[in-house]
Order: sequence, then C-alpha cells, then structure tokens
Amino acid sequence: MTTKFLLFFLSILLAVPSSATTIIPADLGELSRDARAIVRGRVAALDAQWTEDRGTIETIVTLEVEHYLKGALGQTLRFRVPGGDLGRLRSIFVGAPQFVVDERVVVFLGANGPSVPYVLGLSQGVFRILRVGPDAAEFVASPATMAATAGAVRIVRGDPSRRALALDDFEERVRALAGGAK
Amino acid sequence: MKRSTLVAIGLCLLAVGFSRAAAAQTVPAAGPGRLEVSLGALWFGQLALGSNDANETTPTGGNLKIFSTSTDLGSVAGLEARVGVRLLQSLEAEAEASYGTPQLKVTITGDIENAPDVTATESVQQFTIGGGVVWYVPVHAASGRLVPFVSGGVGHLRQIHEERTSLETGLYYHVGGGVKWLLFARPRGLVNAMGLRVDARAVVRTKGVAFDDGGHASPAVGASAFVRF
Amino acid sequence: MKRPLAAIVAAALVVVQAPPAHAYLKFGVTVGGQSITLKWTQTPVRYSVSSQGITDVPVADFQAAVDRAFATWQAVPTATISYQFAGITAAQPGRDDGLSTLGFQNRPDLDRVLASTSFLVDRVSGALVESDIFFNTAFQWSVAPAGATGRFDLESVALHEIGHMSGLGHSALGETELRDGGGRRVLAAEAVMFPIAFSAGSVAGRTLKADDITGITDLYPEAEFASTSGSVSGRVTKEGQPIFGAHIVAFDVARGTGVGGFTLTADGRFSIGSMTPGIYILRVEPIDDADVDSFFDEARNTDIDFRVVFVDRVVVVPKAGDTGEVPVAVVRK
Repeated sequence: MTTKFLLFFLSILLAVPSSATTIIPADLGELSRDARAIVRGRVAALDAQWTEDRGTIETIVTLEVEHYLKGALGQTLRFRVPGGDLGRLRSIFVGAPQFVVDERVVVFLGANGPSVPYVLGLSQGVFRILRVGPDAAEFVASPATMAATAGAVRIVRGDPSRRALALDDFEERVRALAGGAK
Repeated sequence: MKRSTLVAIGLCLLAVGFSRAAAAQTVPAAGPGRLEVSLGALWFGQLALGSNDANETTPTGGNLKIFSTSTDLGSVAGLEARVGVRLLQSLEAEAEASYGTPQLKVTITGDIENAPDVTATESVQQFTIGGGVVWYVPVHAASGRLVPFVSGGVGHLRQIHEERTSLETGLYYHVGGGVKWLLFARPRGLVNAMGLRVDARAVVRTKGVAFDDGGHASPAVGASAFVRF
Repeated sequence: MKRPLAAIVAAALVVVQAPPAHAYLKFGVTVGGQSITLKWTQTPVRYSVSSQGITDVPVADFQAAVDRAFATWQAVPTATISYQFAGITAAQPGRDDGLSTLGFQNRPDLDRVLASTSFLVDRVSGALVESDIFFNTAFQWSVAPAGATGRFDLESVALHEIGHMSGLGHSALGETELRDGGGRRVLAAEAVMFPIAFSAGSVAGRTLKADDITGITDLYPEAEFASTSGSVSGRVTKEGQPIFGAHIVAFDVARGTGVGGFTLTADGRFSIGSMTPGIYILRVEPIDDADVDSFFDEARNTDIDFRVVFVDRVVVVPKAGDTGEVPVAVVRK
C-alpha cells in the first residue's frame, strides 16, 4: 500500500506544454537565416486573447528588449504563441513554448507582413538563459544543434563535447549564421 | 552439447571403469529396506538463457542496434541432501533437495553512445526438491568398495530474485551416474555403511528464471558423504 | 466563435486520480493547485473529420488514413481506449467549438510543424472539452500504401498525433544525425511518439512499439493486465545531487523491447509503470540532443551534463508490484 501511495505521488503530471507536434527539426543556421528578427530580452507580460477570427486562444508575449542579434522591431516587442488561459478555458497547443514573466530568453521570430510576429519552429525558436555556477555565468538552456559541414554526423547522447553554450558564444555564433556563415 | 556436459558424462564412464578394475575385499551388499542419508555439495554449471539486441527501427524498416545483451544464470556450488530407500539390491529410490545462490548476469556490450560495457547482476536463491532412482550397475566386483551407479530424477525448481519481489518456478530433470566409495561396511548394527558419493549429471531445467518455456541443459556434479542404516 | 460556457459540451471529466506510475510522458494540467492527468474518461472518444481536403489527399482518403490510425491505437490489447467517427464537419481543427476535429490547415507561421494537437480544457472542473489535430498543408502528404517519395506519410503522422490526443507526451527513444549542410534527420526510432518524423517517403511509423503500447496502457489499463503488470522506480543522482530530466530506458532482456521514462521530480525520482513482469536492465542518458522544451515544461531545470550509463544491477519487475527504488549514479561529462 505504501508503495502504491508513493507511486501515486511520483506520477508527475506536467503542466501542459510538452510538445504534441510532429516537427521538422531546424538547426541554428536555418533558424538564424530564416528569422525576421532575433532578440534577447526579458518577458514582461503574458496576455491571452481570442485570435482575430475568435476561433481559438493565443497568448501575446511582451518582451523588453535587451538587444537584437538580427533585425529591429522596437525596444518593446510583442509576439504571439498559440494557446493560453482565458477565463474558464485553457487552450493547450502542444509544442508551443511556455513563458514565465521575468525570465530572459533569446527568441527567433518570423512574421507575415505587418502582423504580430510568431516564434519560428515553435519551441525550437526559444533559447532560455540560465545563470549557472557561483559566478552566475550565463548559458543558453537548450543545446543548439549546429549543421554538419563535412558529411552527416550522428548525434551521440552524452557526448562530452556537447555542452550548454555560454550566452556570449551563442550570440556570436548566431550573428555569424544570420550573416550567412555556415 | 556443451563441453561441460560432455565432461560430466565422461567422469561417469570413468567412475564405472575404475570400479570394475578395483580389487576389493568382500563387502555385504545393501538389502531391500535399507535407508541411506547423504549430505554434501552440488555444483550446477552455467546456464545460457539467451541474447538480445536493443534495436531501433530505421526509416526503411530495418534495425539500428543500440546495444547487445547476453544473459546467463551463473554456475553455483551449493548444498545437497538426499534420503534413499533400497527397493531391491540394485535399485534405490531417493528424495533429494538442494540449495544454491547462482548469479543472474546480463552482459551488456557495444553501446552506440559509448556507455561502458557492464555486467548487470543479481543473486538468485535457488531451491530444488524432487525424487529419482538409482540403479547400481551389476559389475564383476559388485561386492567391492567402489559401487558404480546410474541415476535419474525429476523435481521442482524454485528461484527467488534478490529483492524477494519475484518468484519463478519450474521443473528439472537429470540423468547421470557416479560411484559410491564405501569407507565402512558391516552386516549388522544400526549403521550398515558409510562412505562418499560422487556423481555427474546432465540437468535440464524448464521455466524458472528463463526466457522461454523450453528446456535448457547444464551439467552438475555432486559430492557427498552418506550413511546407510 | 466564442461560445457561452453553458453550451460547451464537456467531452469527459478528468478524474483527479493518477495511475500508479507512468510509462513515459503523459500530459497534465494544474487545476486548483492540483495536478491532473489529461486523459479521456468517457469513451469512445468521438472525432470529426474536416471536409476540407487537399488536392493530393481527398477527404475520403484522409478519413480512411486517420481511421486506420485510430484503429491501431484501439487494437492495443492491454488498453481500453476506443474511438468513434462522428462525421464530416465544415469546422476546421483548432477552433474551440466543442468538437474534436482532424483536418488540414494552411499554417505558414508553423513552417516546421508537420502536424499538431491542441486541447481545450475547463480550468475549473478539469474537464477535457475537445482535442483537435491539424495537418499542415505547407507540406506534401501521401496516403499511398507504400508511401510516396518526397511526401510525408499521413497515417504515420496521424498515429503520432492521435497518441497525443489520447494523452501521451513525447518519447526520447530515437537516434538522429545532423545532415551535411543543414538540418537533422531520424536515423532510427523505437517509439511512434518520438517527436521528429521519419523522412518523407517512409511508412515505418505506422507500427506501435513497446514504449507506445506501455504508455497508452498506463493511461487506459485493461483490468486483467493492470492486475498483473508491475513497475520500476528509482532515483538518479550526480555527485550525490538529484537529476531532473534524465532519460531512463528499461530494456526487457527476454523480449528485446525497451520502455522509456524520465526523472520528473526535484529529488531525481522516476517511475515507469504498466510493465510486463520480467528481467530488465536500465540505461540512463541525458537528452542533450533534444529540444528539451518539447519534453518538459521545466526544461530550464533539466540536467544534461552527464554520460550515458548502464545500471550494474539486474532489475526484476514483479507481477503486480514495484522493483523498489533503484539507485542510479551518473558521472559528469
């Protein structure tokens, strides 16, 4: 009985966002080249609303911009992600990135004309900034996948050479890729 | 047939041959109704349970091997006890039981992501209880101190995994032979004889700790001291 | 169109009760401070098919392909989930209209998303109102029995998305490679619920694997199997500290199948349930090749700095019981 209770509490139920999508993975080069804007900033607000056609719920993320790695869309930037909480309803678009107010992120944004931008590749276009270690060095959380340049390369889990990138290194790489480097 | 099984059978034949050659003083044969009790050691040989690769499916429906495994129930030396009743001068029925703690071993190799090879283990408590018959070979010097025999039996197998959360049961069958060496014998008195017994057998186990319900063979060798009443 | 609350048809009430353990990832929502498994408690799950087909996949062919995918999940003998076709609808998927709809949509803003599943949940009651699946017309699709070069197999992708619709998250049982010059492709996967699709033209994703079957069984267990299945649990640490987000694979050495799970608690514990009793070995690895956000909400807490390791202890999943906590120590990269 004790075991069953333990297992009950261990059956962790995740707050929604686990991806329920089938994706075509993009490497950092593709994201960098395809993005209309690449920006680092702090999440200032999250506002759910009905979409223009009132068909479903989306969330508008307000970002206080720290700086742009590509493009320029203003000092305060708003972009949309599918899903959100509105009144009694929660719309869950599985695969859509989830944000927390005050977290710092680097986001890769696309846009269709003058409309509110969206995140490229859903959660693939979001890199969360973490402070790690006693000196609070900054790293990006998701390991960025880089394109192979000399033949296909199998990705090996646990590869010691693949580590979280320092933020400065990540941004330098993104700038180079956005500028057309491979 | 595994080499160890062949060796066990060879030992039986050697024991029979040796006993024929042995010169001995006359020793009274055991008559019907005699009770014999023995206690000693039993060695079970390693049992191969099977191998399996961990594969993932490729876009064309083929396999990509992630790692390989090979599983064995290791050899073990344990205790064995018997109680036998002589039915005829050359035939004896006996009840037998044994206990040992073989290691269940899974050898893991060739990991695609370079995880070190490992042998995962656990200790299994193994009990057998069963019965069988012993036929004493009628050789020329049958009244000698070395008495060869052929034996066979069947019994229940019980194996408990280390964490004691799981119990496996099965059957075993064995056939083999050996020799008894009478150290002491007399025609009258409570104790009729004492001696040593050595035997080798081929054991087939079904179910228990196994990947399937089929039979799996391994050798076994026993050595014990007996007292006949 | 926004509908009054009274008009929303609650498809099912989510029971505030977690199954004893989970196979790999299941969806959950927090309602009133309590975590609830997102699953259907009333079956059959009724689904509609959008009337808007595409040139290469008429509606009838689309419906036949999704019907086959639903049937594949329904045929799992150890699970009780069932589905029912409710008709063709003019509604599009992704509309919060009380209907669970599957169909095509043109989503250029989701140009790297082949298909996706969405849910509408009543936050007060925890009721699962609807679940929709859209297939992105930005890609080329095929329903050909043997697949078609350059086109994604609709049945394979539908099978994956219906797994989500049924409450399953992603599996990490797969290997990928970086392509020369850009992009990434799947070398192999041993779960339909692996997040990255097989390359266009492949139909290898039409068959459920052990990991998928264990997951759907864990959500909707058939009574007799539930009474005999077991679970494996443990704790992963690195230098004595718990690890969040480690991927554990329990490999059945007799049957040659693997089921995955994750450490999903702050103290590094994992639990994989609905397992067939038997002899297993455990392999633990970091998901350092993944878009971690596609697995967990708490991606920011995921530890990926350790090497792949096998546990040096045989793990025996008992009948109707748990292995007891298996300690796993990993080492830094």
